Amino acid sequence: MSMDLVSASPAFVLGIPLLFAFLTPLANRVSKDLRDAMFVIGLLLTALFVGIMAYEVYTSGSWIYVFGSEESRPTQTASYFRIMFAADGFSALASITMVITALGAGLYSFAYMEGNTGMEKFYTLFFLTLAGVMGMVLTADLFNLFVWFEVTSIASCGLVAFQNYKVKSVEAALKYMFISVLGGLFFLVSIGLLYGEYGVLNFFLLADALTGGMIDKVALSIIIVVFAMKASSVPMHMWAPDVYAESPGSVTPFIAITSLGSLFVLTRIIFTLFRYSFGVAAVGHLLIILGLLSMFVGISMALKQSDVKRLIAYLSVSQIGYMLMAIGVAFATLDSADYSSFGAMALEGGLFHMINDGVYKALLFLSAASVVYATGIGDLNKLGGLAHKMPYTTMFFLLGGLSIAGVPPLSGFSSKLLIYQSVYLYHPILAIIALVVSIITFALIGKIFYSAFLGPDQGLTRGEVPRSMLVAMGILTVVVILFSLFPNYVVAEIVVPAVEGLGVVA
Amino acid sequence: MNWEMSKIVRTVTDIMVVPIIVYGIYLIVHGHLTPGGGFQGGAVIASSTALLIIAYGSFRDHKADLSSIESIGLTLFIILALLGLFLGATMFHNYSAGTGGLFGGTVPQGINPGYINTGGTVPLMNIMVGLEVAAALSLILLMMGKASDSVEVEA
Repeated sequence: MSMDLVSASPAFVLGIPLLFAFLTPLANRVSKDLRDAMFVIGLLLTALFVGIMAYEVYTSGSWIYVFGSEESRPTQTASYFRIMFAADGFSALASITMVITALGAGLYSFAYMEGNTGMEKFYTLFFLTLAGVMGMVLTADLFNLFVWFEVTSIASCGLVAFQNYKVKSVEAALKYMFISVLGGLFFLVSIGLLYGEYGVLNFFLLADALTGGMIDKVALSIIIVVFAMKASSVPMHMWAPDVYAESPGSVTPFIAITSLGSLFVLTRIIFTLFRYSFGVAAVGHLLIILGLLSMFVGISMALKQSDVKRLIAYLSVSQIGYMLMAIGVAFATLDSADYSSFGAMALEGGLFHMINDGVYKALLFLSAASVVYATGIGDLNKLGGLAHKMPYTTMFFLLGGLSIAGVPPLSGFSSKLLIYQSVYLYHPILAIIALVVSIITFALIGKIFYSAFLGPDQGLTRGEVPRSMLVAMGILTVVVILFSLFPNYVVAEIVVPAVEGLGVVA
Repeated sequence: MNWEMSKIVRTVTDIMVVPIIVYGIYLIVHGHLTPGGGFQGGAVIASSTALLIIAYGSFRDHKADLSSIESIGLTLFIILALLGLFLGATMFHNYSAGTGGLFGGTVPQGINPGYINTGGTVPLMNIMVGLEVAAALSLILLMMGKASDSVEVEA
């Protein structure tokens, strides 16, 4: 019965954002400065506990945190009626991705959202979304997953529609809400099916209980569609460009991170539940097809966009395809000798790409938001010559853009190289399509860079964006540079434990 | 809105609001013993707000206060959950059950009529949820009353 902050870190990762979500409106009654300070303190404390949890996972292994139990690290999972959080390499990787993006988006919000009333509600929604995605990736219980899924959906809808004087934002939020509610209810149906059949909701117990009957297949198929939809995979991507393009610029990366969170959850469910009930090849091929579609359709749709945020939104859809394809290849080879020869590498590449994608996409979205903030224009045909007045934003955009295009030696290249190498061995055509999509991505980044930043100064802006926005983008830039400089270290220290956390041993 | 209902309605409302609130509080504090709990009791309390709005028509703007009550309820709920961590073992751990303090009584074995001074943190959390729900639903009702405020009444 003693307090153990390290063992309790998963609870704090969830509890701190929840606590500060409700403290900020109270602080607002005292003063606006206190409210803003609370926001930063909440974000930093969350980051601290994510760091503590990750460090503990990497140094002394994973553990299960059981809410309300007598011991903070129960040796046996007899108390499976309680809610459990899995603190393992996979949730560490996911929560690190979330918290880096949240820090960037949060600091960026200060200057970007200035002039909007009711900012305490913005902070509440921001913290609730953060708590929701953290709960989603940490939980080891299907019903608890549904709860966090709904918390994330509702809070992020509020964020999308926060500037409710913009009709398009409200429309995008409505679309997002429909998709989320539909997905959530279908997910609930599938939870009901599994609970009715086996009487357990815990991932580990369910994995032991699954027999592969008809009901399992129906339930797990619904789950795969729901989370692929929330991850904005083609053909369920129609909401993503609207939501990304019309949400306030500072929260766009945060909305994108809820999609990435759904992809993390999909990966965990596939690897903990599906492998015991479905033939692995069927699910693997489905994911590969979804991945190829997302890559190809996403990039084709991006070609004809002229709005900078909408274009990046479609690029983001196509990036989701890389991860789906890599996970699909890893899963399809799971039961064969191919897994150790290249399947494990595909999984490492996919997970490494997720953490990279979370960070550089946030950088890209924030620099695009800076362009819109400084000029008031999002149309690439009307922009031009911004590099003269906005040198830092230009640099940040270039770094994020080259990283998303997979240009060596940036972080996007390291993870894409792992994916190319491994999926080539599964089938060469996969690697060829992935390469072609990367080249088109590079061309599109060139298009944005050329039309928005290069050329003669057209006097569209008075100068650089406020310093706090530059600091926020700077933090993300530092992370991208670190990941680019030490990809081996990141793979060995963060990605490999995540693969182990999925319960796959090569 | 500057109309109000007849004196009979207003008088009955004045009388009825008290038992409604008392019943709501009863549901909240007996949440760990009988059907009901924080959400249900809070909803009952909020129904007294609905009654007052209908009977009197006009009301002062209490939105900021209600919003604060809501935040206080939720903050205390999370603090209770975290206290489980600091005083007990894990988050949401019921550290005060059976320790003899407030709501800390032990339940005797066998059939009994239900002892209210038991349950540890569960009744406390019910109270916090009750605060939150009562304030939030009242807030929604006030917002709706305000929305109809802007519509011109046809002569």
